[in-house]
Amino acid sequence: SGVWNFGSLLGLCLITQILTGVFLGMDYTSDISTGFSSVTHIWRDVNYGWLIRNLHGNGASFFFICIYMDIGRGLYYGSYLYKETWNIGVVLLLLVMMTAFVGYVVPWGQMSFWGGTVITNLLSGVPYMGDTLVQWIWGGFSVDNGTLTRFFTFHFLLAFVIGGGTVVHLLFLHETGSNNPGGVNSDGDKISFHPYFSYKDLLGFVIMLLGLTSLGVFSPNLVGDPENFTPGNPLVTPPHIQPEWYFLFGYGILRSIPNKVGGVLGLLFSILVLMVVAILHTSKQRGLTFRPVTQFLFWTLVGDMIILTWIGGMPVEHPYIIIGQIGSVLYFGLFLVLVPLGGWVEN
Amino acid sequence: MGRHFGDLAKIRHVITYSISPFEQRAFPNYFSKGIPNVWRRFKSSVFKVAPPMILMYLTYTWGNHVHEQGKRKNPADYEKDQ
Repeated sequence: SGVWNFGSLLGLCLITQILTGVFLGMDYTSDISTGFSSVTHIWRDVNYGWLIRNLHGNGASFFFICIYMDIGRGLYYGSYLYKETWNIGVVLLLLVMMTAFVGYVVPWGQMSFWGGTVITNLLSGVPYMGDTLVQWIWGGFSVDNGTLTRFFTFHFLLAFVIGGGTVVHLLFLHETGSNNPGGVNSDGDKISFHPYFSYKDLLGFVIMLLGLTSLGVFSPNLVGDPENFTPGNPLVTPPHIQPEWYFLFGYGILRSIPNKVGGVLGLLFSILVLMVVAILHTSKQRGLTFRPVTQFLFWTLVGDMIILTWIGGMPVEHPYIIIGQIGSVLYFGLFLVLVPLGGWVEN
Repeated sequence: MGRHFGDLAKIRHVITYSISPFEQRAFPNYFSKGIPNVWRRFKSSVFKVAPPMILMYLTYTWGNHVHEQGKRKNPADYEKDQ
């Protein structure tokens, strides 16, 4: 069905981000004294610079829309039973998150600087060598020029690491072939890539590019933070430090645990929990198509992630605190207890 | 490496029939069967999708309402003032 398009769409997203990113890199300077103004220069003076920057920033959002949909498809239809493909996919998610994080620091706006400060400081929770680790990542004693230059380098480099990971992901996928909505073996029912999947993928590309360009030209700042229009200033802390929308659910989980190390572990395991899903698969059926109890739990997970995304963007005040805590417990409870239980009941 | 056509599966006693595209309508019963089918598909999934979404919406509105209330002064706190 249409939800199988997100794999090829992710490939298109990666190519779009690399192309727009390379062109941005031609005019960007990774120094704290010129970084922010070089982005302004790109926007105002470089031919179609405004469009390239637009597509790159909003393209990141579409990257995450596609990756969350791809994971959702994998959870719903039991595609995670292709364990190698799935686990490399989780690694790809982590790489994309790291790339987006360092990439957001690059424009050196207020949210770039302060978001970078908050998240890099989390590493100080590592026992014994935490503080040393943080200063090693920073390249200094705070987020400063050393941090910006290396984060730009990491951003550029990680994009190609993702490319390599994608090749390995597809290598394993092609050992088994794709799953399908029925969850059944389809070895005896194959059709050629061209014209069926070439045109299906092309339609998906057209729809996604339409969405990306619509967002870019009609509402380019819809999902952005206005704080990033102000140059980064270590002496002025914004009242509400928050990441971009695609990280908010993890931010909500992080802040729900009133302990630094606990919060960091919660954030880490909110992604790594995906790696145990295959081990906890209890149902005799592969997907959720004929499993009403677990279907209900799947949509509860979707609703919970939307709630956690909302909470991640709210101040840490009542009743947002308790909602975030219940949402976090529900998130892990669904993966580790409720969904395996649902499969067992349905059997 | 990977699977190859000709080496995927062995299937016996399966007979398929097909009719030429020139001998059939392109979108038969598109509305007369299509619309009732959409309704059937909606009915079969609405009670699994809608309740979590409704709960999510109610949590969102309740949470924002309680937060707004918390920012207002409570008249009972000032009853004993001179």
